Amino acid sequence: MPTSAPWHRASFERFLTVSLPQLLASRLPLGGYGVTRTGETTCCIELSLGTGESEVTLTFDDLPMPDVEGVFWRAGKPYVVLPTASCDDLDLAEIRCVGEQIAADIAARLGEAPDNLPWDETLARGWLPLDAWIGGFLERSAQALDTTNSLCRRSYLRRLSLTNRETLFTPGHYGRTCPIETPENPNIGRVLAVARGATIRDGRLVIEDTRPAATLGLCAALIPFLEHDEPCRLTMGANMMRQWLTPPDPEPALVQTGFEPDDAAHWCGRNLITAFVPWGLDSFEDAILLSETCARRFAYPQPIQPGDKLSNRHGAKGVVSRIVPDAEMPHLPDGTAVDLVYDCMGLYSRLTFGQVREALMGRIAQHEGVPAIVPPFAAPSAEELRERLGRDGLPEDGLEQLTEGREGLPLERRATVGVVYWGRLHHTAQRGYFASVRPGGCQRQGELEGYALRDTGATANLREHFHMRASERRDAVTLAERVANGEALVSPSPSPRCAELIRRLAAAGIEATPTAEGLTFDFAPPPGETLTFAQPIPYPWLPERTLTEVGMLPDCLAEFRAVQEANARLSRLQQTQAPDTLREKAVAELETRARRYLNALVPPSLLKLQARPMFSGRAVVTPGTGLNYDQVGIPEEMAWTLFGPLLQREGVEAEVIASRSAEATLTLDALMARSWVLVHRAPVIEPTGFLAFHPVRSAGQVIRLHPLANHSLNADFDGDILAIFLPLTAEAQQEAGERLSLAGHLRRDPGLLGNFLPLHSARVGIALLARTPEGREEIRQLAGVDSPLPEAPLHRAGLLALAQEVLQEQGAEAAIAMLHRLTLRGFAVAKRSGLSLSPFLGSGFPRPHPPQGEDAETWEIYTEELIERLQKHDVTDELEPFLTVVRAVARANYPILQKFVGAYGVVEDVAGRRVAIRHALQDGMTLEEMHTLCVGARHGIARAAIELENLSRTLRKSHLPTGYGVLSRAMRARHPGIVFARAASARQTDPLTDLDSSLFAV
Amino acid sequence: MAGGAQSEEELLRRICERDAEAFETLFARYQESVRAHLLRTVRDANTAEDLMQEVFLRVWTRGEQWNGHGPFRVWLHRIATNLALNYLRTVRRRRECPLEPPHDSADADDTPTIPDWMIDRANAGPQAALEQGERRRQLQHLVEEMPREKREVFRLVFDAEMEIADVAETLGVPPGTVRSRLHYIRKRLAREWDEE
Repeated sequence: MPTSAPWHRASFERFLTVSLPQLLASRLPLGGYGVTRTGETTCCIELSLGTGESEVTLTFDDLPMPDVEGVFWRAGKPYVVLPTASCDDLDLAEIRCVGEQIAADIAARLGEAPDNLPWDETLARGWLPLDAWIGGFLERSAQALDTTNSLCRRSYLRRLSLTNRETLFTPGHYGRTCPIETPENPNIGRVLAVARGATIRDGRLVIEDTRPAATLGLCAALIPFLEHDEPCRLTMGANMMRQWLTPPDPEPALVQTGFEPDDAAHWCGRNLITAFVPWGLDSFEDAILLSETCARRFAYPQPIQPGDKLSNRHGAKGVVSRIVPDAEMPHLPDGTAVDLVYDCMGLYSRLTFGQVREALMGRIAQHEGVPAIVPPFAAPSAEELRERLGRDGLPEDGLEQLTEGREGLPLERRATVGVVYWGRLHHTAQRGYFASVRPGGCQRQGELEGYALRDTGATANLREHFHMRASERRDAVTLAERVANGEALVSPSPSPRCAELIRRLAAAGIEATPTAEGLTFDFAPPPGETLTFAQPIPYPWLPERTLTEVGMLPDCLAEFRAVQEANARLSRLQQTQAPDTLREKAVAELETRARRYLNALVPPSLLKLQARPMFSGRAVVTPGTGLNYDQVGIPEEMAWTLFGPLLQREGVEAEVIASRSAEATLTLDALMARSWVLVHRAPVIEPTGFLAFHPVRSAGQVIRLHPLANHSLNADFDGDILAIFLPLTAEAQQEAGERLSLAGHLRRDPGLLGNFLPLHSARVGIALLARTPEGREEIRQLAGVDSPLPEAPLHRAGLLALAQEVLQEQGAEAAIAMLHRLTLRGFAVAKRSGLSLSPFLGSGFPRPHPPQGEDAETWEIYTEELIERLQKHDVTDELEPFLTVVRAVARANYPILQKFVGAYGVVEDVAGRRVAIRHALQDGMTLEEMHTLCVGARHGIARAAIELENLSRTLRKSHLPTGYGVLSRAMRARHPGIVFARAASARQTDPLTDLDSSLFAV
Repeated sequence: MAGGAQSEEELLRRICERDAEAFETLFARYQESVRAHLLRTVRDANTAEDLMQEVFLRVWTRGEQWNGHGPFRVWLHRIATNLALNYLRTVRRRRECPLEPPHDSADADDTPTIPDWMIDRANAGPQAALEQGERRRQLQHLVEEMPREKREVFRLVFDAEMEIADVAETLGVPPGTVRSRLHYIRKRLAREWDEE
């Protein structure tokens, strides 16, 4: 089975020995040609051109060539050129590897020499700058080889690039490229992994091995029980395995697929006793709880800390929320502490059942003392697993009775615990951390952020972000000092963005002057270095006017040089009194280039808000334990950095701040308690994208977020990074609290109430609590309402009604406070419950007889029937936890549960036909079914990319300025220069009274 | 005088006398051939265009150099070749800078471009829900929780399948408002759907 990629090197050698000499001979009088290897990754080409007296010999030393693996080396760094496929029908596509690509590149540049040229070395090197061409090609086409771990490196070399991607999948993909591995970004389906059983030969991608595992890529073939997982998450799982850090002491997985290379460095994970249970905030939204013992096993390259990311082979991922003493972890009956807790809530809706089976198999392997081999599409059945559990004296239902800590009470249900292979990713809290009160590296804010602040009426904050605190200001470097000195924080107009506009317009001959009346436009000769034209040309933005000169701005140097060249030619033609034909051509060229230059000076993007506000920071976000609903935990270091100048302003000496004495800390805490910071997550696509909280110091390098905020920020705890902004003026501070706190948002838009309801396990917890009269009474008290709760299940709608009652009667602050109390209580109840996902989920569920044929409609009816049965299912069996979650409307739903235990259902195949996937996740898919599901998964990821783009576009459209001032008109224009030229022509003044213009300019 | 029938000798003679019309004729006759010749040598359309203008400028300023020796086309192409050679000799086609591929790997970016929650919801999104019974019921439930004006737009667009312009007219609001409400609806539904 090939695991390397011999095609890179073979292709380059063909280029050197066959295609290059052929090409040279066809275009040039090639006398001789020879290649010699000068090193492992370099070669030398010697050739001669012409004959007789004009014969010239050229030597190109040290030309790069790939090593045996196909890797180019430069300055000690590895690079690779991906093979390209000519079309997405991979069975028909022509595949060009590096050699063919370079040959084509040179063929496009190499001129055909007429006979009998007087060759000399200068001419020959000018004609054939082979070294520069090869170097330039690699510069444009080679990609840095990702060497995060050995798997990453090997799989990268087996990538294929589909330059003309029209569809995401064709039948020709099967067997040739992995249906699972592809980037989860706009490159989806454009970068593919050559299947293990395929190779590139003679310009084609050919299949050599048709066994099931050979249809997968190197990464996907390493996922045991993958036929029990939804492919979308497998894509993430495979991609994340390539980001696992390499431990100094490799530990082979207890559950293997048998396709791992025989190389210790391959093993980057750890076998961890994993409990799939909700563990309150510690496991909320994918957060992972680790034991201290477990953390010690992940101490590479530095000790693991909260905010560092872990993943397993099935695509489950999360950041460490806390590392706690073993005694506080759930314990097995034999007193063993669990290593890691991953909330089963993350499994229900993502359909990654395979990890539960892996956990079970890991348990068996651990007990038997030998790694288990589970090849793709050959996983043991539920019956086989049960039998092995029985044989090994392990609980046959795969569940364990956990206790809440070493000395704690047993959980209310027996839960799924097993051994799962987890890896630590290179996404660490340390890498995500940044904070500064000075220019350089601050968080970028763009128009979308501007919209969100504007939509909430937070204009003081908007002005701070894009004006006063913008790194782009000339006086930016002194801001921290000015704050520390207690100077009044004034920001003279224009804003840095507007100043940039004025500077660029000036080069185009338009003078924009800030005056008491606003911004006045007029024509004026450009300042500084200018270029005077050989003859006046029509002003590109106002044809009735002429343009005689332009200013030179280094920002658009290439465009300026082009104007210069055209002007020089015209000048020469004029001197020789050339005929009109030539002169007209030259004038036309000058006009075109002048227009390009002017448009480059003032592109539409120049009119968009953009800045990097200082007094900002960012960090990985983790769950915030012990916070009030108006608080956010920020890293201690960030607190000192952002608030340092403010402390100085309060009279604390710089040395005292640097010492971080107890006294200074008290002052800092007091200052933070009365200050607001804005928390935000990119991309901001709704007004609640900025939330204001009082910061509190928190250990480590992470932001601690209150659970009520997750929904509004679209944040979960799988590596998301949040930004923190500190408003400096009293006005912006007050505005933050009034408009951007949770309560502030709710006051502005009571429709947001649903955003703040308890989520996931907290909601399940409330539903469980509401099952008893005592529980309902407790909820009533927590909610602070008078009337008793009805004796009925309390789900999302009921919770919302309860919250609405409080909102109407007691106001936004009370509603948020009440949801805060309910959420915390819900988490606690769910933690006690021991809810989990049984490895034998659905084994007791009586499935009706499945249809015999393939007819999609019959299968659809069948799945509907299964859903109805599940809705009526009222037996306390292994389905009970899942049903509890679905019935609380907390996660997943009946159709999803149906996919676990009934039949996956009807989906579209690669040809767009509706076909039935007859198996459920608990059964495991066949190879063909998996391939079909992969089509949908890939389309799903692509849809998300399109949707994100559409969202931004719609937001931009809906926020187009409506005013009629010059700036507003320019903001709407495709060529803003035209608007400015007209304004200058009429000597107009923009009064800057409409919101958009005033926010932009002052 | 009919230009098309004139010989090159005649045209050149007139060009030497600064006859622009003769130049036009010659230019029209040979520009394509010169451009193609240059393109074969320099393989770059912009450069070929620039050089072509230079070639004809030479014809204008030094037309007398032809003297009728050999075919005119050959002379013209020789000027073109020489200019191309000068270009190839002098222009900095050879660069000294070392290879430093600027590309990052296709997916090495720290933060994935597409947030996970969007991928999740795209895989079981509300649009698909519209076509399915059980999901539709759940969706209706979500719709009912929306503010009135948003709900109205939803019903008209999705249930009554009206065009945006028609919805705008029906409700007496600008189409932009309908679009923004629609946007809000989609966003909110998708979010809540994910949660549901």
